Amino acid sequence: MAANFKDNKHVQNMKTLFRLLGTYSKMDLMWFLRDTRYCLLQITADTICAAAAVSGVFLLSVQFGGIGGMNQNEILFMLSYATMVDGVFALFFTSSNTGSVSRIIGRGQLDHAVIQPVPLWIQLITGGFSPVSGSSMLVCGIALSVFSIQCLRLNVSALWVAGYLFSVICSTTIIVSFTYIVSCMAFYAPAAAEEISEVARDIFTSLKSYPLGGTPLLWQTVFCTVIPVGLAAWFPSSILLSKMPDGIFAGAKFPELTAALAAILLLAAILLFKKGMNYYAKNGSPRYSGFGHR
Amino acid sequence: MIKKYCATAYMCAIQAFDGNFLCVAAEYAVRFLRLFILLLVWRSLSAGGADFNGMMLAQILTYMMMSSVLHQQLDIITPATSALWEGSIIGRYTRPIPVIGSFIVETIGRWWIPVFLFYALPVWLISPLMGINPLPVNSASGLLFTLSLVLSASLGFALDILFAAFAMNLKNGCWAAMMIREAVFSLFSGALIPFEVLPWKLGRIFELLPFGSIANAPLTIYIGTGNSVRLIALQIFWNIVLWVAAALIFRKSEERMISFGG
Repeated sequence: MAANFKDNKHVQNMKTLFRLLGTYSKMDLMWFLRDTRYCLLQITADTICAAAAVSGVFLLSVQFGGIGGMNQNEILFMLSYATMVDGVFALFFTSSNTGSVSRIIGRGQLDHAVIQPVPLWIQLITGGFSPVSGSSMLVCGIALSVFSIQCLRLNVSALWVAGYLFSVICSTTIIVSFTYIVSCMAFYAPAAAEEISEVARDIFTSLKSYPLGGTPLLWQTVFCTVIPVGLAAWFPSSILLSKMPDGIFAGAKFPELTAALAAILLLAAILLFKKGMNYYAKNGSPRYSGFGHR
Repeated sequence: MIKKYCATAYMCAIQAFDGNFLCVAAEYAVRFLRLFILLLVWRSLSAGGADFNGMMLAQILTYMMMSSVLHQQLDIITPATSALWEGSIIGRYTRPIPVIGSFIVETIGRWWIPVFLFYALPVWLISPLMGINPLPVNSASGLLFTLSLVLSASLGFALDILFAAFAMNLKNGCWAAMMIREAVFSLFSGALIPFEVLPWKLGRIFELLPFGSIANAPLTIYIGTGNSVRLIALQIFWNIVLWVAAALIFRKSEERMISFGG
């Protein structure tokens, strides 16, 4: 029985996943120790970017005492949530282009991955893990979240914290899935779509900080479904604060809708990526030619 | 003399979509989406009875639309830093035009012309359908805006060349420095939020900084809320200071230039 458990494919995969996370952590720490100046510069850049990303909307909320049905402190909470999501994304998907997968596909670098004796999904989850150089935004997000929760004097329970963390994971999943769905274009147009994942991510980077509460219901629905920028910060933080405006989402109490949409997008991303991989298996990458790569 | 610059700009303009149509079109779509959401947010603030410190909603909407339409002219990023990062900067030293001149005309060719034709002009033309007045407040403001925009673009190039000189000293760290610059630019320049509606009178401080002369100055002149003479005088001052600094520092930094390719 014990031997069967050890030989189980899923158990082996989990072991490999954690072993690789450990390896990438070690490599990231080694970069920090070897090249401290540049690593600190990167960390500083991430921190300033985090501050700059939230400051515009925050200043507006200070000036007008709130935006879109949220007061100043609630806006700060929403922005801290957005920073947390960015932090989780940066922690797992910034390095090695795992969050910009169209580059990997478009440059024909999937070949490097598929010859490894490790499932591709494990490589994509672990390859960008950078707990030293990539954690500054997450630290900012945690600090900002604690501060905003104190300002709001929220009655925080263990269940609420669990819901918060679950929502952050769902929002990150939505961003990653959406980016991967768009990036699948690179299977069919490797050169034209090589940088498309950056554009897909930019939708969230530049738009998720805006509170959509005061906008017409039609656009709230569009931005929470078709172009799911609202699910990356505004919608889940509104639910966590029990501030959902009237409309089709009224009465939502738990992040089940965020979770459902995250699951749908994740499933779509997996299916489309597999379909793309099948195409890639038959056609390969045009980046490889008789006289070498690129 | 002019022919060399025109030829470089033309070559860059026709290369803008080379094998890259999907990304460029998607970038325009995201830019429009950002404008659309900002318009929704400002309209919702107005509907909630927000006081815009004397500005009217119509002026703010025009400001935001023009900020989006002129994004390329108000947030100038030449190929200087990326060429340094990639190692392709060396090629500019073999061309029959000065390196800084090459960066300027490449930017005009690669970014200004295609963006004007395929994003700025269409959005400007359809803006009345979104309830936005695309015209300047009066013809005098329009003329002063044109002058201010030229000064703004000139200032943007000076800042970018200064930044490229800074990047030469950072070697491999130039990408991180570029991230910082892009992150703070939209807030400090006034491209994201008009200075008039910033709290704690921050706008008065930002207006005096060189970044403030880039976006806030031409846009407030366009909508008729800024003191044109004062803003243009400030732009001229910053142009003189920054171009002198840029020319000197860039020349000095060239000696330290190292590129590993990226």
